[in-house]
Amino acid sequence: MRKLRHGFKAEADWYAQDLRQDLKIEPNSPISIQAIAILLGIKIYEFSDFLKLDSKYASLNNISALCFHSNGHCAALVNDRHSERRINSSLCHEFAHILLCHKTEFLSSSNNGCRNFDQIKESEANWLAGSILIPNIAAHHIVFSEKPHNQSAKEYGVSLKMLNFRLHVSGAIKKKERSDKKRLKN
Amino acid sequence: MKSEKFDVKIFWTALDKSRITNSYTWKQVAEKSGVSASTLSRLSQGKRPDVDSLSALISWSGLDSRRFVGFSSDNSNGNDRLTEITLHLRADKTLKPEAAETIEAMITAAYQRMQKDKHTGE
Repeated sequence: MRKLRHGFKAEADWYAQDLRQDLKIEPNSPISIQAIAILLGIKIYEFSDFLKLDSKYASLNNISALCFHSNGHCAALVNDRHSERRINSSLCHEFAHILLCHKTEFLSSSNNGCRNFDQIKESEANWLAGSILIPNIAAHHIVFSEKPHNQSAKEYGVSLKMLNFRLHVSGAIKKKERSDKKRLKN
Repeated sequence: MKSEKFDVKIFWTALDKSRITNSYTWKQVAEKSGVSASTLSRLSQGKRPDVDSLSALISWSGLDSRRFVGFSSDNSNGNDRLTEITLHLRADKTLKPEAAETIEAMITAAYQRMQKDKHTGE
């Protein structure tokens, strides 16, 4: 992952809170991907709405979700053969690009499949997606609630790997360790 | 029939220029104008803003709203053609041609479905 620009991590947490404010939910609560889609005016369809052949699914096996827009209409297509958590993560990544107003790319099957891949934008969208799903305040809440991690992962609609990553990078785990040490001393 | 419409695309471009001139991030635009990030991203997709958000952005940017009101043809048969597809896709850097074709076909079908849903009020 490319190094993020100075201040971006704080910015990502701000986006996560801005969305929760718009949705009128608590700062540390799980967030519904469907609710974000409605807020952003994005209609969600499933691959199975349009794909009938298994061979077509096979060609898109590594794609969980994609977003497109044209003429003011925006929609997401999700691979309904993938797990809900994988879809959540991928959709959140695409929504992150939209929230960051990243310039989009044109798709054409005639350009031999070569894509305009911007690593900086991908890194930003990756980080923001994680922040949206588990903002810093939620990470601290999870760690201090001492609930089993797989239970929290289910509650927040993320993989255990994503949960553990966010608990570490938010500083929540370190803070809990310091708090436990202090308690033991006393 | 011709109707006067606010051109969202041109307004967005002007707003973006204003942002870049001031070296602001979109987060800073949201904070300074009082408009939420989700409203800004809807605007970036070409969706028409609500009056309060538009007013806040005009006030913050100092842009003249009259510049963005123009004449456009009323598309009375309702057929917005999918003339360009802009896409967010997280996948391998090289998309296989077969996958790209399938995606393009799905998007075209989804777009037609959206048009139909729009007209039936879904």
